[in-house]
Amino acid sequence: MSKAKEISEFVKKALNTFSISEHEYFYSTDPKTGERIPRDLFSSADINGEVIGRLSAALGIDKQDIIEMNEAPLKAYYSKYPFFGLYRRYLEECERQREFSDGLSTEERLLAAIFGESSGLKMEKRYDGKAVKQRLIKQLQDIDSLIPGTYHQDATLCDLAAETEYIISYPHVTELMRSFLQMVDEAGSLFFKGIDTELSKSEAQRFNFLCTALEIYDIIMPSVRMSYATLKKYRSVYKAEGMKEFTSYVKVRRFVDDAPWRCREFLDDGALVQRFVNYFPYEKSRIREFVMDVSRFACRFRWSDAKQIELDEWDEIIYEEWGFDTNGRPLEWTRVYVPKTDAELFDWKPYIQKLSRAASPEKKGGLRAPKSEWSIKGFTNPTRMMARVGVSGGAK
Amino acid sequence: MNGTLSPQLRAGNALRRLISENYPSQEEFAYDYGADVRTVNRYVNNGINKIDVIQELAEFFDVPFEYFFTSGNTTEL
Repeated sequence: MSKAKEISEFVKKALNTFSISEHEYFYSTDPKTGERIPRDLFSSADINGEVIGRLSAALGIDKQDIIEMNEAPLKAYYSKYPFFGLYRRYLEECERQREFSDGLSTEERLLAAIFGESSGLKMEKRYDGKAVKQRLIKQLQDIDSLIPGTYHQDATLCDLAAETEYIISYPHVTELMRSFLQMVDEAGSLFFKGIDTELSKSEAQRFNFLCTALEIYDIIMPSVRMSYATLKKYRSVYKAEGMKEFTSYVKVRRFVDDAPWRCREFLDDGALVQRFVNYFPYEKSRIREFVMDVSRFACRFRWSDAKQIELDEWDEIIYEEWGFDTNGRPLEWTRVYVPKTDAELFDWKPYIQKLSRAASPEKKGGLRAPKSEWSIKGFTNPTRMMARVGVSGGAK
Repeated sequence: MNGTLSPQLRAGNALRRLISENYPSQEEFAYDYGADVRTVNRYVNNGINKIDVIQELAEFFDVPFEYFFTSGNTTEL
């Protein structure tokens, strides 16, 4: 195996260990189709110094460690932050418990999915779609007495789709959150230190590693990943904005986007959950949305006799996503939640009730979603964007 | 002007009442709820015509769906 190939394997393993996407290094995107196309880390058998430099910055280790494939600094990060081991298991549990367990092996499930009942294997379904549809119709008839016109007597439901969510059990979720918040704290401390002074080499590496592993981006420019180089570049802007909260400057994507409230143990440590929401206030509304989706079937359909609707400019943007029918008229969709029965909620109900309370107004016992510092300060996104563009040399 | 209100306007009035009972302002509610304040203003002033939106609000405020159409909520505020 060539040295370039060996280094590629080493890098793949490192990215995998920290659940960092390989896309940036091992794939390109077809500009026409948007498809991912696999590519080699190095375009030739030569070891490209620029690629090594990028990897060194992203992983927070020395270039030489990459060239020599030295695992020691990566192992040190892995031991320092329990997050990574716990996070990997969390993702595995999400995947495993997402599938309704019916006693079939993975191979059998695959066979059953491809060949149906002719394979001799029967896939057990978690929910009965026909029963949900019947309840939807009954509910529309009931609502019609409150909102006349809800139920279309002589029409049928077209393109009906129902979606729902699921709960898993992951007893380590509080430990995972604690480690995650510790890493965010640490990245924040280094960020503010780096605004005022030069970071030492090891601090800069640790900051780079945390930014990559936690998928931290500039909050105003979502395509700009935070790193020590970014911090130095926009240092004057960050300093002038003068805010005290790390999340006023950055967006943390890792873990937050993975809906940890899916775990029935999520609320076990109330103070920790409040700390999480203090960092990420918007997540309270995502918990609220999750409560709706997990306790109900979100049904979306179009009545066969739906009237043509007039679109204003804003609606047109929305309907571009939703589509038009074969005559090119905008589709009038209806969205209704159908509550799950106790049987369809399995043993999730007590947890969903607690989660619903957590997502409710603070006056009713819900979590407090503190206002973001920059909204209090009255900064607007365009102002902040212009300041960054100015530094980039894009504006006079 | 007092007249019988449409279900949509009744739902908007109910929301206005729920907000005033639980939040200092519509802005505070919009932030906590994760909605655009202009959308909330529109709901309150022009009514709510989407069933799923009313269902979501009912869950959030822990009131029955019917609350948005009843409870002394039949005339203009």
